[in-house]
Amino acid sequence: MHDDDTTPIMAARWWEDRMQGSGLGWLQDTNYILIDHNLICAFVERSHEETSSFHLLFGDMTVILDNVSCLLHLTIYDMLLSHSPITRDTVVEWMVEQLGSDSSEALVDVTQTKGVHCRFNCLRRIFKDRMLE
Amino acid sequence: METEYGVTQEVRKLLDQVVHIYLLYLVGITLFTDKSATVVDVVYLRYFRDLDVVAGYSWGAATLAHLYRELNMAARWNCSQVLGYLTWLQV
Repeated sequence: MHDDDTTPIMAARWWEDRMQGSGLGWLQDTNYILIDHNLICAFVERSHEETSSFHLLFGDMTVILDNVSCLLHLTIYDMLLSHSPITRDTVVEWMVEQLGSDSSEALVDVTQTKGVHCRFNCLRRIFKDRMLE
Repeated sequence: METEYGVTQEVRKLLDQVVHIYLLYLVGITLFTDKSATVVDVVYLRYFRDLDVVAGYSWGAATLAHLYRELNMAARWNCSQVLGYLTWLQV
């Protein structure tokens, strides 16, 4: 499989297809480097709880769904995400099944984070393991 | 790639797991950030179970809902990336 020179290209293309196919691929281009803390602070100060809008000098402004799709290229139609809280057992089960992590590791991770969370370090580690395989 | 090399069931499962991990990480650092910035809610794994339908979910709506909720929770820092992106257009 590794003899062919085109393998890395094929793999990259496969990966790209997967990312775009998931509809979340665009998120890879966003990052936190450009954040202006003052700007964010100002917006948080001016946000209004009940109307979810920002009070500005020239009037009120609100963030709508179209902005999300324009800027982040995420879908705003189709099925809504809806879930009820899950238990730790379910989390461990999912982590083992879908992420391929070790069940004892998953349990430790869940216990340490005091909830249904998974640490990035853990994700990174099992990602690396999968890559090596 | 899959058809060309006759990828076995086992390898395909591993590949899927890699994609799952990456997507969970991606969602954790962008859309649904956590206050501590080191953990991600595993609940989103349920939407990655079938990779073909991931795009069928309304991630935009969920993001906006999350943003509203976080804004309401007073001056917290999470989700500020999305906030910045969205507001820049409007200004």
